[in-house]
Amino acid sequence: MRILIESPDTVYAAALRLAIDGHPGGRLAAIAADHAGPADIAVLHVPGGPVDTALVAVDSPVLVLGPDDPAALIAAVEAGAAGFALADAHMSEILEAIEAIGDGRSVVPPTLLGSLLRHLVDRRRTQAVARETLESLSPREREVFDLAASGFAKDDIADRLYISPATARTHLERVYKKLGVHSHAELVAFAARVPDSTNGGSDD
Amino acid sequence: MTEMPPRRRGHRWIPGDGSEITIYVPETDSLHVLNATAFAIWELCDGETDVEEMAAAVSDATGLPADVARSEVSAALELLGRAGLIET
Repeated sequence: MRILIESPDTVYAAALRLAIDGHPGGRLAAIAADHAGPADIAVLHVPGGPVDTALVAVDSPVLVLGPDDPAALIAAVEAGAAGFALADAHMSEILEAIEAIGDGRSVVPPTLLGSLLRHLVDRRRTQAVARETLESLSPREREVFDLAASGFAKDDIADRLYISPATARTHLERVYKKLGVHSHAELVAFAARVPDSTNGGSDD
Repeated sequence: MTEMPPRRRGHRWIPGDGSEITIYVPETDSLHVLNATAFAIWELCDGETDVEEMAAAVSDATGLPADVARSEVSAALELLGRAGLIET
C-alpha cells in the first residue's frame, strides 16, 4: 500500500516514513507528495486539534493522527476520515491503524470510543428532528427548500417554479420560519446536516 | 413490552491503558474490568438512550452491519447486567 504522509512536523513525518518503509513484510511504502499516481492511504497528522475539513477532500481513505481529545476525533469523523489514532501512540499501533484502514476497517482509540458513540447518538437525534421539520413543509415549500438548498437564488427559484419573485420570496420566508433559520446560508447549513434531505431541484 | 433504555449505576471508574477500563462499584466495593467497547456502551446507558440508538451509533462508528451492531450491543448489555453495572 502506498502511504502519503502529511504533517506540519517534519521530524514526526520523517520518523513515520522510516517506520512505514521499515515495516516487516514490505506491505507498506511511504510516498512523496509529488508522487505520480494516487496514494492508497493518506495519513494526516494534526497535532493542534480539529481537522481542517478541506484537507480531507482526497480520494484515498484518510487516517488522522491527532491528540487524545474527543473534539479532535469528532472533527475528523465529521470531515470524513476513515479512522483516527493518537499521534503519540506507539509507532507499532500507528502502523496497525494504517493496515486496518487498508483492510477497510475503521479505527478509533478505545478511550475515545464512548465520546464518539455519544456524538453519533446525538447527531442521529438532531437529524431526526430536522427531518420531522422538513415534513412540516407544504409541497410547494418543499420545492422551494430543495432549490434553495441546492444553491438557487430567489429569482432562479421563481423562474424554475413559474412563479413571481415576490411569491418565491414569500415561500422562502415561510420555509425560513418553519426551519428556524434566518438566511439562505443557514438554510444550506440546515440541509447539510441532514443526509439526503434535498430532492436536488430536478428539471421535471 | 417496550424495552426501557438501560441506565448505568452511578459508579466511579479508573482509566487503564485504554484497552481495558476498571470500574469500581462503591455499593458492593467491587471492581469490574471492561474492554473498550463494553465501557463505551456502559457510558451510553443514561436511562434515555435505547438499544436501537446504541446499535445505530456502533454501526456508524465501526461500519458493522446494523444487525451485527445490535447483537454486539445486546451482548455488551447482557454482560453489564450480569455484572450489576446497569439497572435491570
